[in-house]
Amino acid sequence: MTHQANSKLSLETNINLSTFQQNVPFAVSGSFLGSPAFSSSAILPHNAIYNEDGTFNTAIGGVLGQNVVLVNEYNSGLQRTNTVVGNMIGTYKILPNLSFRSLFGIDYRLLQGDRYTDPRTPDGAGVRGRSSQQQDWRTRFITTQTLNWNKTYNGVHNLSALVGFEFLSETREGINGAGIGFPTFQFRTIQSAATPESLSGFWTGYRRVGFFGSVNYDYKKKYLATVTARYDGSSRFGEDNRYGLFPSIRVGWSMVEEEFLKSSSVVSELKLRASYGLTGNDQIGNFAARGLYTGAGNYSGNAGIRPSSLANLNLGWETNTTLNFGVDYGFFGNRLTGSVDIFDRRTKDLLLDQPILWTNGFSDIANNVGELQNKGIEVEVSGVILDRGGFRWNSTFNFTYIKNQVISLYDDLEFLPANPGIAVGQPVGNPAFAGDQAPGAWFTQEYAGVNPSNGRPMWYDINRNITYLPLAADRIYYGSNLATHYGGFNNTLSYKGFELTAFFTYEYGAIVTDGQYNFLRENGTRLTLNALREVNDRSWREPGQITDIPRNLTTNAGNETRGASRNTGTASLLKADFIRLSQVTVGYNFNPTLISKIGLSRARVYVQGLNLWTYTDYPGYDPEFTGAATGLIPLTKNYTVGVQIGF
Amino acid sequence: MKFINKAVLSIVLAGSCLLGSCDSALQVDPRQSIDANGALNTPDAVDAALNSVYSRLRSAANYGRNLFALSDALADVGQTTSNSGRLIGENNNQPNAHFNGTIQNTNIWLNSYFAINEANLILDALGTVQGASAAQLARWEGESKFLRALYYFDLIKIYSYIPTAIYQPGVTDEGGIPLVTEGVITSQAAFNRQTPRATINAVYDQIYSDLEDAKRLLTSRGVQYGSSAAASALLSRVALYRGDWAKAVSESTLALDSSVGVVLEGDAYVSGWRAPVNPESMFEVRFALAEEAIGVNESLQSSFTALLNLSNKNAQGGWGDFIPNATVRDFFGLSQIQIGEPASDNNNWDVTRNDDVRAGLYTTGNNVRGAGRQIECTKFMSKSGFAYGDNVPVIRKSEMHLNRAEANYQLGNAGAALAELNAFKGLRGLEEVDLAGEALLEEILLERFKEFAFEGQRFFDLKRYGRPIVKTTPSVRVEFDDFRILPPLPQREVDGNTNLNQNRGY
Repeated sequence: MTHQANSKLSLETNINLSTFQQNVPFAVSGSFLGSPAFSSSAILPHNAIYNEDGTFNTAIGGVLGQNVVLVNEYNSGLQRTNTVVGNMIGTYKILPNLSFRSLFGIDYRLLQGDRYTDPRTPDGAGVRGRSSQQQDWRTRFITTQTLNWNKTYNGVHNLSALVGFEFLSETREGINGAGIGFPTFQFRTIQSAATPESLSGFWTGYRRVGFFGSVNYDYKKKYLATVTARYDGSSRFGEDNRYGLFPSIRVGWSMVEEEFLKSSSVVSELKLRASYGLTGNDQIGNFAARGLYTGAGNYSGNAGIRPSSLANLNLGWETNTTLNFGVDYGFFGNRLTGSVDIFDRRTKDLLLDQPILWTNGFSDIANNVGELQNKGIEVEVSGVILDRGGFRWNSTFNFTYIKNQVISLYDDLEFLPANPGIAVGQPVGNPAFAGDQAPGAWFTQEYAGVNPSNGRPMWYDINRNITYLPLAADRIYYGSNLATHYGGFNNTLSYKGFELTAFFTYEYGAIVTDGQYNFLRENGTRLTLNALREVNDRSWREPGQITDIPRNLTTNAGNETRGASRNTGTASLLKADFIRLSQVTVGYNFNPTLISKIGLSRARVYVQGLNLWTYTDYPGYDPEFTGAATGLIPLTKNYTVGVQIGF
Repeated sequence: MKFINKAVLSIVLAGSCLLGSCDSALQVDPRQSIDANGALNTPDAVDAALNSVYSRLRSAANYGRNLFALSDALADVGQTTSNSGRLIGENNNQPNAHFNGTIQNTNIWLNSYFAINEANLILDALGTVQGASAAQLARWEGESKFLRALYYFDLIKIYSYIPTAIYQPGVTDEGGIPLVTEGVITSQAAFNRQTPRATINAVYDQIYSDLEDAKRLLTSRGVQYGSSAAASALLSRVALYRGDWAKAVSESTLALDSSVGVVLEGDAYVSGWRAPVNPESMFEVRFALAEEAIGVNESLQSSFTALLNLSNKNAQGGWGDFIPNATVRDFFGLSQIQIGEPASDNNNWDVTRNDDVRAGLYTTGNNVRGAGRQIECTKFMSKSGFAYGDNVPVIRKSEMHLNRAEANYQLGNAGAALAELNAFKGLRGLEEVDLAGEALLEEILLERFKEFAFEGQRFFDLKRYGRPIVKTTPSVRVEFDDFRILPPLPQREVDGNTNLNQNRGY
């Protein structure tokens, strides 16, 4: 809703209410025996889901003794998100070229979770059913107050400036509980539970204030410059180090505006860009800088408290300094366009959980541990490959190469004590989820394949000799889960009303470990699990056979008695390279003049497929994943047939 | 209205910030934690902090599972069923499968040193507690030291050789464990303290001194807490491990003379295991709430039996991963028999038993999970009143008789040793024996094996006599000079502490 109060003041408010509810599966990751994503590939396939009379087969033997269809039929779970998002914006024109803008926004969410473990399922049987409930309130309040000014001098010098203030407050508060012991499976809500099993809650919050200003200048849109600066404070940091100053400068030269190129029939766009800027990162726990005792460790019916974190008064902003040179180009009337960027981003005062020796009573402390570099090149080329007789083929290709490495660590250390995966000259890898700790490079023993004479798995020791029992001293660096090369390739082919779009993505250079595949790589030797045919076919059977899968041992969990387990070291590391057809769409647009007779402005029918084809030799579910991959629901193939009509 | 208030507030804030002070706007205090500075300066806070030290004993890394199930899997007590795949590596004495968990729930080094730090912080804070009575101060100091001694003893018996049998004495990498008696609460100390391994002797000295203090300072306020008698009982075991035989005799006697715990006989002994609190306990780890149960995967009950309870053997319970081997079955004359029809009903199965009353602690499990019906140990059967919840007896009074008999034998008092052994055998329904010399020691150790099967003592009894671990199922022979007698120290600790030597072979 907007309201022009008078010629100088305008008010705008908007409010958005939504509720979103979905049924949630038993689990989306982890080795839960009732989770189809984990168990269905590992359960022996001769086990029937249904008996002949149509009832569930509950006599499934072995560790995977759960009928996943039964479990998912009987259990229930839902997640609901109620959201209120509101903004109030006032703009006051103090002068024709000077205005004040005031924004207040609130984002209020309630996340509700409700799960029921049915007493008829194996997990629910022991406790006679379990109902668990979660409520999670999230409140985010933001306000920005800005003053905008602009002026043009002599019709050629355009100058604008902005100063402002920002305040952000986020809180999360939750309560959760579970009850067990239900009369029958029909009673599925927590008040029917005989015994409260757990009751807990949490509160957390943080605030950020920022002052910012920027000045924009251009001369005839030909020379461009922007200078900005922010001064931010975050409640997350140590009392001595809460504020950071983050300036940046960006300059551009639009060469195509110069006289010598204006008349060019070849060059239609050419712009040089350079930027240098600092940004701050405060993505750590809300109370990571505080030395705290927390409520935990109840004993014999009495409450307990224990130290939970160490104080770090010096904990401060992580600063990303980015130097970027870029060119935007267009040729032949922009039939060929694109850009090239070279960047070098230095992350100083890298925020990481620095390990603490367990003998000192803590696992880690959030700290600014060192400097990280991300440098690389980004290229985009876009063009009309063919445009003849109504047939048109557009193509866009982009490519990024990135090198990620630790430049230095505090105290000139070569690696982070107690976490040697974070080491100078090595990548830090990709965190499983945004805000998580970077996993570091792989630092482990290199697999040497199977001894052809006896089928035993072998590794290299630090002197490159073969050993059956590698030691800690034999560990080497072996890449990380960060893809070094990635990009996309989009094609659009159109002819008359028909249109075909095909979008490919690709990644290269990531080394990952896949918990789900590691189970299958055991080839059923540890537990009665299903095996992969290609793993079983490769397993060592006769002297002289060269392979990477050891002989099958049914004793000792499939392990050689004096040897490391078969998935030790790089034996369980996989290349996650792939090219994927992420999206393909075939559509037909009806002729507008034809359909206007029936009152339509637009009519389109289309068929779309997502993730239909992947080129990879990755042996697990899917090379594109985050986390441990155990019990992971892989990217789904998705088909859509649709009709779009516009009136 | 709240929204408008916030709007007004933020304009005021903006104004005040522009005037130069935003510190109050950036002050957000946690609500579920308190500042570590001064956290322990009230009596209630110290009580709560002490509860946490106790509660860490409940972890699966310590008495929740590993100190009983994992150490017995390493020894010659049982065999694995492969029902859930757990404890197989340990039972095969696979290199690295030996008190070597990598996460908090499974790593006894992490959990114990955290507990030791908490106990040290309490001891450090005792001078600053406001309004504490002398009795409170004595109790806190005594219980903290009792717990610190227990954690250190459990660590050193695992990670180092036991004084009575040290392989290659004097080799530098076979020392004790890092010995810390000052708490860490500042980042400065946490970053810089790189404690080397103390000598085995120094660690045992510290344990002795802590337990002597606990004996002096404590009375008893329930077997779930440290007491003077429990300190004597623990000291008796520590002395036995140290080969300090006279001490073992005197502390056993002190413990036996105390009013804490009883020694049960006959059927009462088996019923003792069915009570929430085993009357034999001199110190036990309390599982009070369903929430505290270790659960279906790693609880002691689930590790040892597939039964949910003894009243209905068909109810689906845990995994039953680790079951008695032929040696233990022979101790008690256990073999499966069908006692009713139909055979498909698990309640129609039981075991044959000999005169040893301890045979009553074994029965047949079930095949509900699709695995075969096995003979299982039922010492842990949800006796706290909820699934997989059992209080864990750390020291039972019966042990004092066996400690004293063994120590007396080593002191040359064979007569006293034999008399005590025979009296104990009588409590368990066994005939007297008439043995002397080496055979008498063997019989005492055998009695100990039978008494503490599935209670985590056997591995350390073999280790302290420098004996090999010999099993037929699985077929394993680990000589005492094999590096697999000791586990690796957690590699991240060795990576992070240049003063810390790894154990041989890792």
